[in-house]
Amino acid sequence: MTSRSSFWIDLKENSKRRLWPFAVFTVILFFVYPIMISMDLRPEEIENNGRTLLEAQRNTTYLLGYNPFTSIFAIAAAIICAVQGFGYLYHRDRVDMMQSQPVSPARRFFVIYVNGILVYLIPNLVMVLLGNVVAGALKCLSPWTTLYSMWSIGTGLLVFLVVYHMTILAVMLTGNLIITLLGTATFLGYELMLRLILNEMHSLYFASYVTRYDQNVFEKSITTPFSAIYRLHALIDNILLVNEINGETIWRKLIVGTLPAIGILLAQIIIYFALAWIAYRKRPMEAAGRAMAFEKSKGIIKALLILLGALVFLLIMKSLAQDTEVYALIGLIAGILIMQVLMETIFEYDFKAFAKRKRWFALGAVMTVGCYLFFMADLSGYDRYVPSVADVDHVSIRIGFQNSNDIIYLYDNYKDYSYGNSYAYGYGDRSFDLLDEMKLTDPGTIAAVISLAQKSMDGTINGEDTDKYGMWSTVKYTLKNGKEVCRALTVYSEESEDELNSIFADRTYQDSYYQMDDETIQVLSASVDQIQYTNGLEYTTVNIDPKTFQEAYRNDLHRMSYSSVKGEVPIGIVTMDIKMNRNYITKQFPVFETYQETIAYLRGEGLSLKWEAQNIVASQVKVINYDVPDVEYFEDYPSVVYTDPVQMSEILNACVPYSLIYSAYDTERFNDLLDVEVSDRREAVETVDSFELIPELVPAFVKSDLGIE
Amino acid sequence: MIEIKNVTKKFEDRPVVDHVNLEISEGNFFALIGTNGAGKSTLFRMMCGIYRPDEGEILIDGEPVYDHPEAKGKFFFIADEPYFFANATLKEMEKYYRTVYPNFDAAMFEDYAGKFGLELKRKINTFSKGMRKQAILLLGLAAKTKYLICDETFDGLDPVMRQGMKTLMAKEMEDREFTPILASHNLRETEDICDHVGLLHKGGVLLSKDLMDMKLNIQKVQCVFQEESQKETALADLEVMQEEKRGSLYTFTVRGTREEVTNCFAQVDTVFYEALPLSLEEIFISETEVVGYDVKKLILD
Repeated sequence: MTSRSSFWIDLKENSKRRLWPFAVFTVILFFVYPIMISMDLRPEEIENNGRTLLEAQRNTTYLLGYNPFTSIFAIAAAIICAVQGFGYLYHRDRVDMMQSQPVSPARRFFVIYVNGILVYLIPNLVMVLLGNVVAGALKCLSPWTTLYSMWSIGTGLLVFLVVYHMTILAVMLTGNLIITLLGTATFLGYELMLRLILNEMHSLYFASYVTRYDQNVFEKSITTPFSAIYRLHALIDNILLVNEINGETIWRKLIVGTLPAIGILLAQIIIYFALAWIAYRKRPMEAAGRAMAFEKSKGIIKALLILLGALVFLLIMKSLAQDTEVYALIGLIAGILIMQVLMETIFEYDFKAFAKRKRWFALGAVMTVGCYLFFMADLSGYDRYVPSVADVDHVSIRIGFQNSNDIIYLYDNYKDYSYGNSYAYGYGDRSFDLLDEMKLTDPGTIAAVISLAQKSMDGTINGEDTDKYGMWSTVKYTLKNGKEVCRALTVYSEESEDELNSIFADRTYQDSYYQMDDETIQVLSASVDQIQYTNGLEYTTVNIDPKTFQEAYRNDLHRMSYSSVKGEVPIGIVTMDIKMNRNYITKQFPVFETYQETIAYLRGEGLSLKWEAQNIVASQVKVINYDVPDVEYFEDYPSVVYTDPVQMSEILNACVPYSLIYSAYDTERFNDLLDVEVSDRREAVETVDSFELIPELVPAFVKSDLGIE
Repeated sequence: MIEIKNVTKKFEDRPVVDHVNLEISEGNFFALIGTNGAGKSTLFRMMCGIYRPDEGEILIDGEPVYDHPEAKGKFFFIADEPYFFANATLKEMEKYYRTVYPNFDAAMFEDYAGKFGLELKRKINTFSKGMRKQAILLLGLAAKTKYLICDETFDGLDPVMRQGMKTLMAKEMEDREFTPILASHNLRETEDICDHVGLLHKGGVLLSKDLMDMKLNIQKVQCVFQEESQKETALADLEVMQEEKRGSLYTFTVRGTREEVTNCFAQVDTVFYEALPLSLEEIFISETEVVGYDVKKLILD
């Protein structure tokens, strides 16, 4: 004689005990959707903020669609629904009641399971629809926004389901609420934490390790929904940033673009559901109230958490002791022991049980020490890795020239946020965008890059880098087997001039570094809003043809060598303001003495290319010596003020404008130690120009006055 | 019939129920008695399909119970701490159980609830412990299942209510196929209603017998002999289970019917002899001593 009531009657009966989360969710969502939208779209609000109706509609799309709140709410709701639904398993009296009743395990599970989903979904659906109605009444709604908001509910539901299944699994594995929450947090955070720790260990122990922003822990994690959430937010933000929501963006960019993230979520939903179901069927009902339901799970969980916890202790101790390895080791051992005691105390509710499960403790300790030795002793040879020329298909390199930040700034803005390949670029690191764009296939260039890497390894690993001037750089080798390897390296310009000349002679390198392939020139030139030229002192808006300029500039780049610009400061800088995707970005082109075609073009446009010392009107020149140790306050650095026109002229002729130095390639000769401030105190508003003295040209009287040798 | 076949349950490698074999026939009022920690509740939970036995199997009318809703539909289980939904009224619990037990007799439940003074619309969490026990017993009876399994359910009921509940159960047994199964460590409480008893001790069943059979076949005799030699003659044909002497007064517990025993003592010219009825507690003390257990120290109530 089994219960003859239908699944739906059971569902209705169970729903009577799910009322409080339903009510709480409804109230929260009522404020988030209809109320928030009605406040945001009030006509006076739109008018006060000077927004157009289009902007208001765009904001409606954001508010009603998938945004950070959607993810946070889905995660929180999933944990609440799972714990509230299956929490009966924590209590013996409830287990007695439920399990003794003539209801099949599957039916009991699915009644609770489906109700949990409905408790989340129904308030969401109702309130988002109500939000649509409000937006419609305020004339800020398009059909595409409604469609997008429905898609967002579906996507939010997927995030909900991953965490819901994950929490149900945690409930099935544990015997009380606190341990379930700890378990859920472990499921959600273990991989992220481990990846963060391993990244940090790489960073601490491997000199050649480099962190790629697009390889962040959120994006790469496979066991948590954060990877998909990260991808969804990045892509949706980009779409909302650059496009209106319409049929084209909905179907091509949004739906197709988010398929990888949706796929990850679906896979996680299936896997966690399967695990939760198996755990539910296997769970011993006598586990109610205990810490863990399955005795066998305690050991493996402990071993894994010993690994994580001990490495955290190691990192904390290492950072507290300024990287002293002895303290790191103390932290590691203390971490292993503390985690053992902590885990067993949690498992058994008894501090005296701290020595239980010694074999798993030993496993955890061996894993942790093994991990530590892997990094500390570089067992994998990470830092010694330099590929052979024969193994490399192509390379890309970002050399840390002084001007590199300004030159390559463009990459992360120029990207087209098209579907399928671009979710990370909005948050990309321009260094790596450059590495991804550049493809140096010339064997000579590859050999030169590998030679730089070898010299870097000799310097960093073998300790030959003391007092050598080096530029922190990054390289990416794409091997013939398809594998990509990124490494940091230090480029020693003094001893690497041949290699740098080889690399500079590669047109692909120059085109990638300045983004000057034909297509990019075409696109960027069409988007130029304003062009300025500065000789370091004066800024002039110029009316030159951006395309012609860039072509002349590229011709000069193809002719230049590293030797020709080494230690040189440009005579001026051309700056283009480019409007891309609603953003203004700035692209700089430093003009060196050797760029004859560029100079000829600019001169033809009537520009005063170089600054002249005699043109500077000054009442005083102040020279400050920063090469003094142990000075606490900035104004305490020794300085001398010169007002004699002859001395001022001599000083200015030995200077370069500060602004030009940052556009040089290699500023080794400028050590930022002797600064010059030139001011005209006769003017109503005092103007100050900053210069730096060229070390080999410092006048004798300045040296004497400042006591410099 | 409920068949418990070689069932074992261990918690953290400690056997709580150890190779138990037991049969509970239909139509009996079965009492499972034992000390605290004897494994009664664990055995009940396995009988109700809550816990999975580590070894052995439990069949209800030939069907395994664990994970089998068909078998579970044949009983209603009242745990030692019955659970009611938070803030639920008796009416709401009735509605709930109606969805679970298809034969639930709502009219009967409401009728009895009224007679026992339980308000249907009052929240159960405002009930006293005794009222909650009454409520769950009435729900269990109204579920109209074949078996009603009660784990120490009568604890907390006042004597009047206890008697009322026993009467209800007796009526149900008369009216339909109904087998109440009761676990208790209180022998006196169960003595007047049960007709079959199982004794559980340290996870094992010491015995399982019909109470009437036991009572009819064990007698307590108090006797004063004129001469000590008369004792051997009087007991020659009897199995003595227990013997005690205080001054010249002997107290024997012997196996046999009242007639057999009195005949044996009548043939001897004693100063005085009298056959007395045994309480369930006394029977169990005697029976368990025979098999080597010092139950006096164990069963205190």
